[in-house]
Amino acid sequence: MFVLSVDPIALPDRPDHASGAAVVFEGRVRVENEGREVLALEYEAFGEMARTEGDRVLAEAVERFGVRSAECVHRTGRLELGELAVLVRVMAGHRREAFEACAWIMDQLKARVPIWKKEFYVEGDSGWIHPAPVKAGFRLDASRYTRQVRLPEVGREGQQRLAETRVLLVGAGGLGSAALPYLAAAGFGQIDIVDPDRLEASNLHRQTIYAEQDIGRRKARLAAELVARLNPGVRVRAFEERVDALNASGRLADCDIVLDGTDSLEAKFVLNDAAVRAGRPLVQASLHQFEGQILVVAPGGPCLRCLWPEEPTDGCVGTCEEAGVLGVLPGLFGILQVNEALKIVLGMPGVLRDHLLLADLRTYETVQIRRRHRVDCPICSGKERPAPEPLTVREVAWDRQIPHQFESWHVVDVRERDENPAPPAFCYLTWCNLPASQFDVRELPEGELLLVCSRGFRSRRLAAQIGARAWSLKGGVDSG
Amino acid sequence: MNLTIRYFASLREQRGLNEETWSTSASTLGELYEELRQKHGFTLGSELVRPAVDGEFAEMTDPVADGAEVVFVPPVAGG
Repeated sequence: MFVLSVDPIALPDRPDHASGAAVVFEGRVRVENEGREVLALEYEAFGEMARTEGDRVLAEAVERFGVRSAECVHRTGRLELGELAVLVRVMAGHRREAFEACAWIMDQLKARVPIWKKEFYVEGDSGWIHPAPVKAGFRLDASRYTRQVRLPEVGREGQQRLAETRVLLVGAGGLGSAALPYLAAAGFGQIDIVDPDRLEASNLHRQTIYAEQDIGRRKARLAAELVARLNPGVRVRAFEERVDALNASGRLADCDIVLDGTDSLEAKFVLNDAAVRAGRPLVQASLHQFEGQILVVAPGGPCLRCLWPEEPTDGCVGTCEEAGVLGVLPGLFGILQVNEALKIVLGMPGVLRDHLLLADLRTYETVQIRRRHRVDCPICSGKERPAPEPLTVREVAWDRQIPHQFESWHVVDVRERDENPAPPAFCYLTWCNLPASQFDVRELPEGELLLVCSRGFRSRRLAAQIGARAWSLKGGVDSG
Repeated sequence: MNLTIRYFASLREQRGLNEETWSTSASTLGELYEELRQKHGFTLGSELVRPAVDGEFAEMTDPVADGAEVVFVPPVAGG
């Protein structure tokens, strides 16, 4: 039986003389997640649905592995470091099937049962996480993506690239809520949703993923729950905060592409600046009554400040609240934003990196206006750079013999200062330290680069961002 | 000289037209915008509007050429 418990977990003994093996798994609160230090956790379950789905997983495990019983207790509420978060016990005639069933149950629970984990980080912020993804793709119908994989522009490789792409969606309002179902359905691997607002009745005429009964609830959470239901293969996180100059770089560090669905010019400029600095493509859309605008700020391309050297303030233009908006307009433009994201990740032509597209829904007039670099742009400095390669990563394993081709390369160590980065013992190439948290592509040395970190995760992410001239050291320097 | 002027967002709203033909003796896009602003009562100053000529963004200091299609794009914030 699957049990949710607000109290510390205690599982009574289960006498069963036919079981020669009992495998017990204890999941505990760990101090670190993906390079961030965690202080505490809070679990929240989607009550009935979690119990039903949890029971189903356990019943399937008994059936599938032929074990005698399977039980699970999952904590909810706030847990401190080291506390028991989940306990699974499988009893069977023999140990092998008990071990296998136990591991399978944990994978399934993470992928299918709607339990959310809020991590409180040392830096003072926090985030909700639905702990997907489904590695083995259980219960994921293999035919799920066939209609888009069939497109020559997508294929298996493109689908894999989507699965490896992390999207940051800023704003879960009109644009964001329209983009979200298509982001989830397309198979992007991770979606981070940032929105500080609670659902209001006045949102519902255009934000169609939300229901009237949810008025008053936080939109980031509602949106994340929807993604978890639509596609359990997506790892989704909800951040209930307003994006600003202080938190933007942190959010961008954890993503490969940004969709801007905010409704303030201030936020749009904050995201522009952060995206240019981090070298992330940014898809921005803005609306006015019956008209929409969409553009892409891509690494090397002109940015929003090239277009608006004098940052207009929000007071001088109307938001949807002030000017009004027809419900279908954000629907169309949110989906166009996903279209641009797909084209970018799949390396397709026609991305609006040098254009602004304007469309008027009353007349179906559209116009594309060519944007250029501004030579004195304070953010992107106006230097024309070649378009980056699609988001792919090249990794090299260090087998003590530095391949000949690397001899003229620069080693860029992206470990943080408090990790005491130093040239690895095996390194006789040029070495420099650019911590991942302050990473700025403009500070990189010229020429070919080999990025290294302790375990090879951060270097992989940043190498993808830099593109063709960067490799990542597989497994990191700790494996050297 | 004669130009085609297209308006978007709040400018379109204030002008009440998507497009019009306009005769002017203005020598720069900035002068042209000021002329239109006074005539039509646009509230946005020229520093807040971006001009484009024949499908490319331009500067308010750029000259105006006969027969050009000029678009004035105001900033838009809604989402």
